[in-house]
Amino acid sequence: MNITSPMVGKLLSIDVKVGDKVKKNDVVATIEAMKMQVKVFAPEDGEVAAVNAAPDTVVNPDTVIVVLK
Amino acid sequence: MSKLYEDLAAKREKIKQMGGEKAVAGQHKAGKMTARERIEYFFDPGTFTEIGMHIKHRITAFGMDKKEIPAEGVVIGYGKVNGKMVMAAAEDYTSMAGTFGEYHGKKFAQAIDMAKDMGIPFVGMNDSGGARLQEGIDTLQAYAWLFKAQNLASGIIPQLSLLMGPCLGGQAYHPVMQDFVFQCRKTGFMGIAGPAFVKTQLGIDIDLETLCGVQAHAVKSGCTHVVAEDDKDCLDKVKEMLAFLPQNNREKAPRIDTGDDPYRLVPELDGLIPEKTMMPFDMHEVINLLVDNGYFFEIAPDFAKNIIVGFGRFNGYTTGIIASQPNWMGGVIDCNAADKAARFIRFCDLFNIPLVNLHDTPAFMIGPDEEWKGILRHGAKMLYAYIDATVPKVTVMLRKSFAGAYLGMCCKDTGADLVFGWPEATVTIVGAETAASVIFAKEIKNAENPQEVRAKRIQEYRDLYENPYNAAERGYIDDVIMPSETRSKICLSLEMLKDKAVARPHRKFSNINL
Repeated sequence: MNITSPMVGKLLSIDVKVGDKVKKNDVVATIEAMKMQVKVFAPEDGEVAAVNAAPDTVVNPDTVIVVLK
Repeated sequence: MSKLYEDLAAKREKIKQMGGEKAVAGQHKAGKMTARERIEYFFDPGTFTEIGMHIKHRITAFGMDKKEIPAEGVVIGYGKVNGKMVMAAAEDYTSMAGTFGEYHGKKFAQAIDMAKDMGIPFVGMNDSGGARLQEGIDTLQAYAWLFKAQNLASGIIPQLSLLMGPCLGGQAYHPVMQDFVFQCRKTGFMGIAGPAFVKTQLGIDIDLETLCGVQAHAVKSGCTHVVAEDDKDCLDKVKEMLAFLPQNNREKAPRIDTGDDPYRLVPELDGLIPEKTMMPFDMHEVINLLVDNGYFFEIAPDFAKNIIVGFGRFNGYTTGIIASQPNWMGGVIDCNAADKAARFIRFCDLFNIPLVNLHDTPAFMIGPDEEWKGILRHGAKMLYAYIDATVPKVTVMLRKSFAGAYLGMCCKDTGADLVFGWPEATVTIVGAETAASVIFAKEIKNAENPQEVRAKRIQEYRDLYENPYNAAERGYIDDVIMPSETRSKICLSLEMLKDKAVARPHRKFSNINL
């Protein structure tokens, strides 16, 4: 399960690390866009398999930020 | 005489058996109620009156002359729901898979025509294997009767569609063209074409649920407004929604006694908004604290989550609520959010339901993705919908209300009758950072200490414009209020506005950017 950003923005932080167990709606990353901090939520329960994006880069709606298994 | 009566009883009994024991067992096994069970569950006991039970098709081709289809595969009739009249059509999947033929369609269309003329809501329960191909052009024509009937009834009576089984092909325009679509999670499917057709025409392998299920329509496409767990849950939710609606566009939206004090203060709202303007919060909390008894019926909660729309009550009056959701994409308005809001606003306007608009939005979404998707023409739908709407409109600016989004979410001069601002409100054309860097670009560039000058200019702009008072001085905000006073202010405003009358010169309609 790939987690992508809901919108274009600057990635502020990845709020999980590989191996973390996450529940649906847990925050996995934070981006900054349109004068707001925008949280990226886990769409379902899972374990973080990979982190694919780095803070301070621009993420698009098709950028995979975190991969869950 | 008794023979005649016995004949009637036998005919009725036979039709009520629908497609027979085996087909009914299959329907139950699929986790579905039959059409007649749905009708029985939906209407107040003893009030349902069936019409057109004896109608038969007239097709003889392909052995159809020997085919008996009880009630033509659709049960039609009227009765009371929550004590008020409703017209319903329930497709019977057990009778030739509820296929849509000439007389099946005619029954459907006539029911909508009658509901329109009598001014009562129409509820359609869809569960059909699709077009009855044996009937050729007559089937196609029946779709036209149906679409025409529902189009001409649109805006006169509320029309609700329930996807309780499949509804695929051109027939799927039928649910989508009604006011609200309810979809059963495990059994409801809607699509322009099913997986088989997609496979043969496009070579794509995809299953029915992925292509046409609730994820497809309640999350991705936005065609579905309410997801139900099963048939009973679906019918319960429809009853719940009907309780908010007037019978037709000549009636005012209903008022019920909710027992909730309209003038009570809501101290929990003071300090609810995070001090840092960049931090999100869940607007649902605000809505739930404002409406009577915290009861909010949300529409399309999983589609375009950056805007929240739905029905609640203030002082017992049905009210449509449109609210930014800072918790999702910062509450920015993108194409999908604008579409979702605009159609809801128009529904409320058609059925005399006042609107309450809660702002915390930084902008319409910018950037290539949304620009090329047409944010301008989608965002325009909100402007059109709000300015067109003649129902009472009350706006509360909670925090951000910037630029085009200030206009698009309904400000004083795009139609709000009354506008309140919280002390936290920042109502202006652009954020201070952007403004200062444009206005004072030269000064900052040429300064000995550019950072210092920039910071100073930003602060000046912020002090001047990033507050509710600048707008209040011009009368764009009618009053700056404590968050805790919001419920009381909304209730009193709606009371004052309830007989609002607007006169405009005649035109066919505005040319909204569809």
